[in-house]
Amino acid sequence: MKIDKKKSLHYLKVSLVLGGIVSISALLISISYMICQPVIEENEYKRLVQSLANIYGEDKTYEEIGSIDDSSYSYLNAYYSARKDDEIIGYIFSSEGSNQYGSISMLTGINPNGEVDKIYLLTNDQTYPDKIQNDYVDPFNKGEISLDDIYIGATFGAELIKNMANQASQYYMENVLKQ
Amino acid sequence: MDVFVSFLLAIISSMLIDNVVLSRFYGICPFLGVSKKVNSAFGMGLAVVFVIVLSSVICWPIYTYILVPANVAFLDTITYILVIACLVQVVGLFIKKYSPGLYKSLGVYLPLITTNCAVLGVVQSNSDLQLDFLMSLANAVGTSVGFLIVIVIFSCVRSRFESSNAPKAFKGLPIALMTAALMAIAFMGLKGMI
Amino acid sequence: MERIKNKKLQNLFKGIIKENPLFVSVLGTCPALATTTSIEGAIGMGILFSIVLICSNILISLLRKLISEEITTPAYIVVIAAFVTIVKLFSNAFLFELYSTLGVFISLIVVNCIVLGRAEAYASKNNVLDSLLDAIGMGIGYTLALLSISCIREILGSGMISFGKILTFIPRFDIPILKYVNSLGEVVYDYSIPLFVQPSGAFIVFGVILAIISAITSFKNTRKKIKEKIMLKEAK
Repeated sequence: MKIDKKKSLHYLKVSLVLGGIVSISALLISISYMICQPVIEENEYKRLVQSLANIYGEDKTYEEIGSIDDSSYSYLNAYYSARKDDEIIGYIFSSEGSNQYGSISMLTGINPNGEVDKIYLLTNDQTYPDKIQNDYVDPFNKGEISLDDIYIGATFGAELIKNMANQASQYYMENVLKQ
Repeated sequence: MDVFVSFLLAIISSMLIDNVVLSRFYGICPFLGVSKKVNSAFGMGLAVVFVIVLSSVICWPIYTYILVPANVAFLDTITYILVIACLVQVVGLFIKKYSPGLYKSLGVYLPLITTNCAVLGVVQSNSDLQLDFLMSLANAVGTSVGFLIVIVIFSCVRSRFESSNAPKAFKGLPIALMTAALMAIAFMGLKGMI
Repeated sequence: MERIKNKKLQNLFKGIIKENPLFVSVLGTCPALATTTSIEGAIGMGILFSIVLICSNILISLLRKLISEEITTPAYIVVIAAFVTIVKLFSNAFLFELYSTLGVFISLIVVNCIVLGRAEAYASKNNVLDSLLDAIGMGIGYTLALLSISCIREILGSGMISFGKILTFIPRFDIPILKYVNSLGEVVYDYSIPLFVQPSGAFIVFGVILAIISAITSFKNTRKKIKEKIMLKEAK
């Protein structure tokens, strides 16, 4: 009986110490979480507005209209309106998608007629990212090539960009324009 | 069929093209430390394969179904490292009971798998890149098999260096690092394959 | 008093040269090869590592009498992982560029052999002040080692030292050494060797530095032996 008591006291002490360490760590982590989380969210929002400004310029006001959870529009995440002096000059769709070469998240600017205006890549993890930017996205934004000219290549998924932009335009035509 | 092909491609790409040791720099400590003999390198590689695959299979559901819905995604690092530490202890007990010879030859290297950057690196990057279950499994399998291939090749080369005539300052670790650099250049040539 | 002061200073400085964690006891090599493509990344990584090392050494040394033999491993892991999570949250909030450059290697400080090694070998046996000095010394030594590798890699590999890209509170400017791009974007001259920013270049630089250190150590040892032989001969 005596040996059992000693052992169980020892185990009790060990588990108390471990529990104390875990609770100290949990306390420190939750304090830093409460300090940091608002800053992280605010920074994310600032970066979002800054990246939206890449499509239509910095002097417009941007506002989130809603998020898109429709499974038939699997690439799209959310869409925003771009206003200049209270008049909507276009809509911006944020989308992300991936194929076996990597993932891309991008913004598609759509003018009120439903045509794709500009494309801006936010993150590009494909195998040859610079080629997509220089050979397809930049010429499209300048108006030198049209959306149908973007075709799939050997090591990059340019077709992914084309599909995402077309899906955004399709969503706009079916859901927003009809309202 | 499409899913199967992309699964295979993901395995090959993380095994050869973006190789875990020579391109992503994950498992360097055991890579330089264990690879003096081919047998121990092979045993270490097999144990790492087992631990990485099992830990990513366990950690992905924990992240997706427990941490994310409870809005505590920032606790992923602590959870992963505790799961990995427990898993290594369990694997150690298992090997000790069923194959004492292997346990003796692994010796002190088994608890070293806990501090192997590759294990935590693979699991953490699975959740950072927001991969789904099939892709994270492919990532885990490809990474660990790539680690096994590279460590076995490296130990074969290095066991020959023990009896060679390297310059005095380069004996031991520096000449091994030069070999690793040449291997890295060789593997870099596979980059445009997929 | 003098002796105690000297010992404490020795404790601090041993981590920088004599027992440098990266070059002498080859530990913690994974971040050393991966984050040293730029000088700023190396400085950032070194500072974050030092913060984790100092905090975990202090806490473990405070609790060293309470932690018994069986629970050392999970206790150390919980403490170190807690501090790494705190550092991650703060760097995500206030140093976002550094956080996105270093990526998963901030989380890998948890399994860094140096942090666990110092916790087990030193902080669990010495008092708070000694552990603090030891951690500061090791942190400075590791940062200097990362800085030396990244200096060579960045100067030879990309030709110029850029400031302000990753640590955004420094104003943005470039010091052109081997490569000069003027304000119009044209490359005036470019003698850089891109091999050094690739993974193979990291191995080469690390191997050459280790070879240089081993040559210096053996040179010092032979000089010592020759001196001792001369002294023995004179004594005869």
